[in-house]
Amino acid sequence: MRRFLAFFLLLNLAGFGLLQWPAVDGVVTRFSALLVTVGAGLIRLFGGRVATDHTILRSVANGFAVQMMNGCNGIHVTILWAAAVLSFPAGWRRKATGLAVGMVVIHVLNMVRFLVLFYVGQSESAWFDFLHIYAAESLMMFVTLALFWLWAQTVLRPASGLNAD
Amino acid sequence: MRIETRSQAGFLVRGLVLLPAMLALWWLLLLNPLLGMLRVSAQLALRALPRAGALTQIAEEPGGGWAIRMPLPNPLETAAQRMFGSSQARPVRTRFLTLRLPRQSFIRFTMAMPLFWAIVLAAPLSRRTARAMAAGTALLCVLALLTSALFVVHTIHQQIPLVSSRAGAFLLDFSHYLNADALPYLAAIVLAFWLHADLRSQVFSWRPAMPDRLDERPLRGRGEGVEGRARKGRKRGKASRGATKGTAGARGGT
Repeated sequence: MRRFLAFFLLLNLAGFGLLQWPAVDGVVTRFSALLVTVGAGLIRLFGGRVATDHTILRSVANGFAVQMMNGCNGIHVTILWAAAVLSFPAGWRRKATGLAVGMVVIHVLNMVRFLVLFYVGQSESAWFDFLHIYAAESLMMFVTLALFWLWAQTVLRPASGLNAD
Repeated sequence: MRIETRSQAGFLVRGLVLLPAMLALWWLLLLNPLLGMLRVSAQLALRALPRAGALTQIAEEPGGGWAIRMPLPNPLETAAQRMFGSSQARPVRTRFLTLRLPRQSFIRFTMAMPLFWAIVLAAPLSRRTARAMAAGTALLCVLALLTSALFVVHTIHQQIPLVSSRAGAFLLDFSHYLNADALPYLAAIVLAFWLHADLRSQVFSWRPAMPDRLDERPLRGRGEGVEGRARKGRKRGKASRGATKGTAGARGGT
């Protein structure tokens, strides 16, 4: 447990430290812009009318706009997830699978969060900050924790592979 | 391969119900008292600083923001004098600094609490739950004070550079970044695992499950069988240890 915690905190420091690097910042911004494009595509798929400008998503109907900043793009939760999975005593194949599946789940959830916030901001602006800063982030963290437990359960069953015969 | 997911599903469902409830409790009822306590304790801490007197205070402004009046540390007096006092016809000696900070800045430092409460209460309830809740809440209160202090130091640094070296400035900025963006969530999770032994043992299965969970006893036999096979199947010490200690891992079976 101590080893896990030490690695977990160290990898978090490394991951968040990496985000401070200007070169990585550019990549992260491009990733945010990509997410905004995907979000806009999803909204248009269901008949919504939105415009994008790099990391900004704007409603054509009422002009409401949200910008996907560094903390909103799921990168922070991804760092926590990666740190937890990589610190866990498991084989590299399981770690790789866990990383990939977890990242997909996190970014799907984050896209849902982004789109929900975009619509909440248009209709219930008083609740936007509360949902954005506190509720949605906490929810993301909680779901990620449950996901980690599920993944750890599969990894901590060394017999599962042996029982397959 | 079939994976036993009942514990995780229960945790997730309970958490999804509890988290909004805890967030509502925190936001609607507890936030103002928590911020009040934080303000008073921060003021007491400030008054313990050298040169702090009765003039050192943290007052709440009409909009809920904080006006922090604190003594200027000695090494900063010259810099502050140069920045704020030299343009005056008759230079004014700068001894105190007043920071006006919005309420939202400090709300963030208490937001780990609802997440921590939801995690602990969503975990299987046991005698340790209440103790973990109390200890975790107390530690998060202390952490809120420390993180607020770091936030204030960084805010001062943005006005009057506190460190001159690039490495020092980077460390301060990085600490602020972690403090504002990672710590509120990380603290809740790390504390929940640290303080709630049952949650820790269930997730990591590095310790035998709770002895008072009699309903799981019959399954232990299957776990031991699995363990034996695991030992035969692979002679890797770590894998065997995982199976030996991991009663949760051995639950269910394939």
